[in-house]
Amino acid sequence: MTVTLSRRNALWLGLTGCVASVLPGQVMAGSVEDLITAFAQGAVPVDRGILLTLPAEAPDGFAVPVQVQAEGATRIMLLALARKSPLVATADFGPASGTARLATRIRLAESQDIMALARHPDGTVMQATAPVAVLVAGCAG
Amino acid sequence: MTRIRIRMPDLVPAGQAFTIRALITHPMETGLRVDRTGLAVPRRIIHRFACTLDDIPVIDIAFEPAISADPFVEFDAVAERSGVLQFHWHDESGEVHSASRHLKVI
Repeated sequence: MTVTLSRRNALWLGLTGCVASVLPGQVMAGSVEDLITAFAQGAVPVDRGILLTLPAEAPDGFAVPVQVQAEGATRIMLLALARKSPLVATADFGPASGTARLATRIRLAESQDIMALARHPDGTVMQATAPVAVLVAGCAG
Repeated sequence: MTRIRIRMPDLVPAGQAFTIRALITHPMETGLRVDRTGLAVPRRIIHRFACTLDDIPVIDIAFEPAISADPFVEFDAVAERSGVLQFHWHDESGEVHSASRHLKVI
């Protein structure tokens, strides 16, 4: 099997062992809107009531720490806006959940905005966006 | 060899939220990496993590390939009495990795 690599991908492969799957600028903006629309289910997201914590600079793109907290929410969605596939994770909080909070690590190939949305049982939706500068890119698929 | 690490308090007060940290070793291969011979490394992804307390859902997370290798999560649970916490990581292949911990509540 032969694999034809663009020059950019060949450089990537040599450096990281990864294949960069998207060139900067090839953002599927429609899919971010679709994800938000599907999550919001008719509600208009408001810019409060949700805390998105992210380092301003991430030294390691393979493991960028991110936390989302939204008091009273039952569902949270995390998006990385420059990714070809922006969806990162969706979490449902059950009856034995202490708080609607999730911290995890994500991998990003480039600096970009991260967006978090939270949905409450009454249908209200909160959103927050924060930028992260990725110093060393991670394989982002 | 898949390893699971769970950190949580030894003892928690009834009705007070406490933090659980859970990690599983897993490559989270996107299927887009190419090895030196030019062959794609096959996709292998944990796509779901679920935690229950005495079968009551605590958290249920759908992971996408953007989650880092060795997926790590931190979240909070709350309990009124001692019980059993169960943790399940679902691989896209259908394989499920599970662990359980006894929760002591005072």
